[in-house]
Amino acid sequence: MKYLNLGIVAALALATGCINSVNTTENADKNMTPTHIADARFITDGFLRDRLALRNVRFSPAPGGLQQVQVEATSLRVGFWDQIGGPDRYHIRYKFTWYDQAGMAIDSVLSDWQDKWILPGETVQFQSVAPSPDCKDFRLNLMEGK
Amino acid sequence: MKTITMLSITAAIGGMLLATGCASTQIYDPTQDRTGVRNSNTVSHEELREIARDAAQKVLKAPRFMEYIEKFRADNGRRPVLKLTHTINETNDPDLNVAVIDDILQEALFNSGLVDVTLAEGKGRTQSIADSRNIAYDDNFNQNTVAKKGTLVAANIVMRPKVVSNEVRDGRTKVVDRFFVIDIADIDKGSVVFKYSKPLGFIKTRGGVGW
Repeated sequence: MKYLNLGIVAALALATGCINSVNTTENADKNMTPTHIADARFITDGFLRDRLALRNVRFSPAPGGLQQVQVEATSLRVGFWDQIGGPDRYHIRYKFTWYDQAGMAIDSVLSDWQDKWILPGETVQFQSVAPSPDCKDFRLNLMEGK
Repeated sequence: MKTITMLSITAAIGGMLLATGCASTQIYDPTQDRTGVRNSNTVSHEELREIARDAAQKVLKAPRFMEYIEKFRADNGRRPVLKLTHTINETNDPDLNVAVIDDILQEALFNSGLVDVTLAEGKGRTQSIADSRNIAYDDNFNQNTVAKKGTLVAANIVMRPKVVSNEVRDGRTKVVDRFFVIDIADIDKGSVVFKYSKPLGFIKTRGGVGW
């Protein structure tokens, strides 16, 4: 029994050492001056909320004058059970919808659902440029892919 | 023995009929769903759509392209006119149709208000525009409503997609890499004002029993 317990502990320790996640480093004193905006969230999937941390939302005009948005997110699937139970990369599907001044959604070919695969611990950016100058606001839809 | 043989044949026929009846058709929405179906002999619409969307997002915020657009507007008082040219196709499919890339990019650029798109010249040219000039010789038409000669606006920029496909095999594994390039150039000077490239790929692994 003692050897069985030792074997289990050794196996778990070995498996933990096999987990790879992303570390990052960056300059602490930033030179960039991004425009952060407050965001309002509506959560229907608590698992996604806990696995993908939405860190900030930046909203500014692109060089041509169209609005552009960037949502930065980090995959928190770095634990032992996250990586044992699922694939190495986290599959996220996302879709941007843009709205005009009146709040009407502007249908565009750029509003299709798209895919992103995120490594454990990796920070990624979901970006979108408004399809027309009439666009004033946006909504980002996120879901876990299969 | 004869009974067993008859039962076996009946079971086989029944199984085949059942399998035939199991065929199904599933409707899917390309804007929402992802099939993940890939073929090394051709490029799927899903891949082309993915590239076109990404390229459209890039062109709408490309600093050098915006610089060109602003300078053109300042010099000419109007938007530049875009036309298409033929795709450079370096894939296994000689009949590859990349119209979806052209259409998505044109739609994105047109709706953004950055460019005008012409159907009077280039790959997207429609003969009906030229034919409309011919009806000027038909007295049945009110000549004031007929398109006049010398009114077409020539294109100022041209867009050219390029697709390259490469495959490498190692035993049961085949890796297919695709490289997409989209160039937009100023017709007057010949210089490129926007350049985009993106690789896509997939891996196919053959099982132990198969071909």
